[in-house]
Amino acid sequence: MSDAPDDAALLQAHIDGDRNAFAVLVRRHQDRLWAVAVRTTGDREEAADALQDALLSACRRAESFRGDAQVSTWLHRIVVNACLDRLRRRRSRLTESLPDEPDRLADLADRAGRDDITEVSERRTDVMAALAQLSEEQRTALVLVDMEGYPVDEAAAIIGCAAGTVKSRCARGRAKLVPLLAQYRRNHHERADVQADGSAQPVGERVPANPPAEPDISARDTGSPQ
Amino acid sequence: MTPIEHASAEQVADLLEGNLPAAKAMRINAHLTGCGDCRDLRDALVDVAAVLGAEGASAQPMPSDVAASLHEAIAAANAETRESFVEVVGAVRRPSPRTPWTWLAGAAAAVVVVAAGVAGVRALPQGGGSADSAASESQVQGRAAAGTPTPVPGSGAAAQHRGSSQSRATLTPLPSSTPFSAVGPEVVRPDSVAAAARRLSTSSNDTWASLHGRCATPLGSGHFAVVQWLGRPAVLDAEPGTRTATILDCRTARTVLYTTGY
Repeated sequence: MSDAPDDAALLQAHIDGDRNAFAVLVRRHQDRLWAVAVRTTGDREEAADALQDALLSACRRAESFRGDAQVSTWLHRIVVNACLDRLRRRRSRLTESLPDEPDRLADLADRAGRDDITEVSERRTDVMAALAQLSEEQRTALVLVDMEGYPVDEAAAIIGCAAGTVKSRCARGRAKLVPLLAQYRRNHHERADVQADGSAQPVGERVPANPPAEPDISARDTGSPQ
Repeated sequence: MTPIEHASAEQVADLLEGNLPAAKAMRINAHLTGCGDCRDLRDALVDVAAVLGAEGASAQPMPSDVAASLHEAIAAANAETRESFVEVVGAVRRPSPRTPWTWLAGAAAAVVVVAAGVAGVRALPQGGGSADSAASESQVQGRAAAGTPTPVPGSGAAAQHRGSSQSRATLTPLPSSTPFSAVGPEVVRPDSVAAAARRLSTSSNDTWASLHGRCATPLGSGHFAVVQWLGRPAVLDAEPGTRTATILDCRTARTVLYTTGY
């Protein structure tokens, strides 16, 4: 393991007939792919099925990888597409499913977070339920950019759309989440007030890799093209 | 400057994301300067992203049962695809009495390939030095002489020596007019056939085949692979219906180099 092959080498080894290479590649990325799948679908079973469909397809279509993106981006793209396909199929099956969503999501969040401390578990419940209220496109963009920390360009490559589209979907999604996460935000601020003076500092445990919003607005809009 | 009413959450979110035209961004910024409510909205949007980021950073590993079933499925897919080719590849390495290949007159014009299969078959080191290799070589040369277009410079003699660094044939992709069609989820295009061939011709290991999958011919669907044939890339087209395997010149996918039953 000291000289671990990179992703592209593993994929090529798989194409060349190495029976274990693809499994090694998957193990390397499976937790992150799982997080994307479960957050995009909001459903453990759908996520498991979508992930399996997607990765089997990637395994069989390894030759279609063109090398113009990271292998991990390609894997994410296939997984995200599989998740969206399933969501669309489910939506067409169950037209009246909305009332079930919060319960199912709360249940999911509860199960997923049972080993976490309560606070994290509550946040997971809130976030999953709030994300469920967004359109698939907005949710996918926010999962990739805000939650997984992908740069906008890479999220665009994964989704298969323009970077501007990702930015627009992120903005619309965040706007819709403001009231949905309002209760959480108050808690968030009560805690923050202990150490801050009430000015709105983003006090997440992690700063997203691509901070979508900065307090210093004037610095941001100077470069806005359109 | 025209004063604006309160900004909407979407407007502020677009502003933060840099989505707005400069003039509009300036107007909203000016409004924010003098409006506490809208600044609070802006802060709320910043918080939303922070909450998502914090949740995203908390671990959510793949459950062990999901991982177990996933890897079981991957192992099964790997095994299944390989086995479907072992028979074909093995047969082609051991030529048997020939079957007529007239059906190929039409079929060879279009190697219609679909990447339903996976990966390549390593196995079977190329060449092998066996008697059947020599036998097939004479046949190849007979057939190839009839229809092969102008040899690519550097690919002829060098290609006879496997592993030679000179076996870097310049491959001409199939004409884009080649009538490919799909029988599966994805069409492999002429350029991917050429890319697979290029990989083989520059490969330093014992890779024998690359890019295999299912293909459709006028007689039904079969197996397809880009293989090393006498040191140069070629297309192996196997037809389970007639149990016929054909090796085609990779540069044209038309010129039949070799055909055998299996």
